[in-house]
Amino acid sequence: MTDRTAAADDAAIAAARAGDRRALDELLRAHYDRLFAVCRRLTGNDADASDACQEALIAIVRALPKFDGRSRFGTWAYRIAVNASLDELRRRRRRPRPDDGVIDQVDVASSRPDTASSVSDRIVLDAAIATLSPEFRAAVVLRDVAGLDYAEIAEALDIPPGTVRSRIARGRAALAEALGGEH
Amino acid sequence: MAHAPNDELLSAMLDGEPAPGDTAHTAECDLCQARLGQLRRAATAMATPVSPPPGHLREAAVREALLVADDATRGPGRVLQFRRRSSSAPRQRRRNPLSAAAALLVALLVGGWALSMVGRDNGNRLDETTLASPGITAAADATLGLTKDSAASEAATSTARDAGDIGVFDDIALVAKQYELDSQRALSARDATTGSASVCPAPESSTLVWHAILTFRGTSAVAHVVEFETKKVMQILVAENCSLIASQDFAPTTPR
Repeated sequence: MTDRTAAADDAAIAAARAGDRRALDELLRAHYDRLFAVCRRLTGNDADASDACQEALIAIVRALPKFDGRSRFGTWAYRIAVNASLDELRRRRRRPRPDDGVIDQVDVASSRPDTASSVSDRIVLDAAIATLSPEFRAAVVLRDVAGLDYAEIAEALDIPPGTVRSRIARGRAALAEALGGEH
Repeated sequence: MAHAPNDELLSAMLDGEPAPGDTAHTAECDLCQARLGQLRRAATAMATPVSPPPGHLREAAVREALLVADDATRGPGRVLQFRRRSSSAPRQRRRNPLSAAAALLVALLVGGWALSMVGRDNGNRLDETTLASPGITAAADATLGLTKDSAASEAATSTARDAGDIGVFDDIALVAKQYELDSQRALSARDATTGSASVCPAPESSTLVWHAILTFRGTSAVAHVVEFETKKVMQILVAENCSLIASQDFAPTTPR
């Protein structure tokens, strides 16, 4: 979302509301990867992130007629993606899966030579992020993955800016402890 | 003098946000600088780029969302249905005109069979693929003449539909089927105004849309259908203490 202007979003939203399917398609594609990144960091695995991101897109389409433009579309979309991811986490808690505990299956043999260390890093990072409570995780992800400022995060999570500052600090402290000397 | 570094101050400084404390001290304090380094490494790790999702996932997600938009723009005459949540595999829509007639026939047969089964404590399990089949649901909706308008007004109803005592069950799939049938009957009869408070509260961040009392696996229980932002979920809770016995996810979807 960093390389797409708010004006481009506004134009696409207006056209999409007027029934321009191509504009809606463009809008969704333009935001998908960033929304997926947020969902991925919040859910901890690709499969749940994919489900959450798909539900987020559907929720965005359903709610677009009610989008009032008071916040940036990107911030609003992140809020929906966070809620979809948290819903996914709640469902996962009620629905143990046979692959719980396995981060992702990665075909190391067919990957680039540097993949082994990056896979290891990724597993360590996913495990460390998983130790954060969802509230702390959401705040840190919106800051460090989505690049929102504290005011935007407060708006996205519907909490006061002071709470955002506190959650980010505590989330990072917990992450630093979980990562130990790995990073 | 030894002191505990102020994480809120340091973290806010990292982000260039207003920091609550003595920033001048931090610049000269080895302890604070060391802590700042730890927090910076944590932030950098979190910001590690996520591998882009496979293209087919993006395509499937966008396609599904556009279909939802298409359905919304068609307006009245469409049906709203709920399906069981699929696996994490991309959801594909397939259209097969020949299957509609067959699905209609199966829906009539299965619907009649299911009605005869609910209320009996026989322990038989409903085939999950039957419940998951949107074609059957769509056909059943069509049979009952349900419109999207009526379904939408159901979704907008602020109070939960009280289904009363719906019988004795061993399997949540049968309860879910009863919910589906109950919703259809209620919509068909345009009696969606019934509402009352359930004995168990809806989970946080959800809205209660339907509830019933029942005997589930020999326990006096409450069945809930609750709606989160993106999902509907059925829950069975112990009536006495509202602890969760079983749950099953649904996803709002549209006819194919």
